[in-house]
Amino acid sequence: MTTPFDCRRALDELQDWLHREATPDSATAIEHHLAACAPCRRHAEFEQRFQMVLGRASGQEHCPPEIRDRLIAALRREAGG
Amino acid sequence: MADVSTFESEVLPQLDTLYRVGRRLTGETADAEDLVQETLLRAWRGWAGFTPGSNVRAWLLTILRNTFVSRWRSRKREGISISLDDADPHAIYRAVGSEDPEGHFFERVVDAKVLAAVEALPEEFREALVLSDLEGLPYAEVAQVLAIPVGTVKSRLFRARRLLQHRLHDHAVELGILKAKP
Repeated sequence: MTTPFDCRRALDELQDWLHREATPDSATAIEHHLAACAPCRRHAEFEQRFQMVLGRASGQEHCPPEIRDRLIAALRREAGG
Repeated sequence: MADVSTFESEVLPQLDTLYRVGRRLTGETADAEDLVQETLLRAWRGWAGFTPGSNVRAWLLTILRNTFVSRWRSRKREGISISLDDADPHAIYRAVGSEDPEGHFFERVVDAKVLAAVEALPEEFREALVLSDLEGLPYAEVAQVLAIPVGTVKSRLFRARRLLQHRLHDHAVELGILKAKP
């Protein structure tokens, strides 16, 4: 049985853990807690999906080739001038 | 005279990142191009000050962000009011989670809407979120680029994510993916 304190602490530190910024001790504690606590696990999955959506939305965007060409041309003018 | 081909080999692999961040900061394709061009020219002029082997991405993003602050920010003062339920940071999860236990909500929100919602965030939250959650920079690198402590990065990210989730939730309600909260 987990206590409310464990859930609160796990959720407070969830973002750090998802971004691999948690300390090793904190990461271990969160992982143990998530393994034991289904509500927090669902919450963690929600936050994880949210992060995946952000990465997906942005990751597909690239500098368009015509803009890249213009940028390189401007740089070479500056460097040659 | 510095060698432009060495500069290009270091800098051009970062062009997509610079463009995306510029796009999110300015909200416009043409402004993003101007911003990245100015960044590249400033970087070239300052190339002698770059330490070989150090983090070129953070160096370039710092130049881009400083250029944005000095040339663009004053033009676009946002009047967006921030209302955040600080007392219950998990309210949005509960609202979405109870309506959508299977988690289809995020699958159905289209990428363009997500990016538009990011661009609508107040600037100090947007820049932290873009660098961390969209571009995947570690917190320490975000702190370096924004010249703020890591603790401030974390608190801005916390608020940025909540704001964004609120907006996506409202969008999902508009589309009928989720029901409005009673």
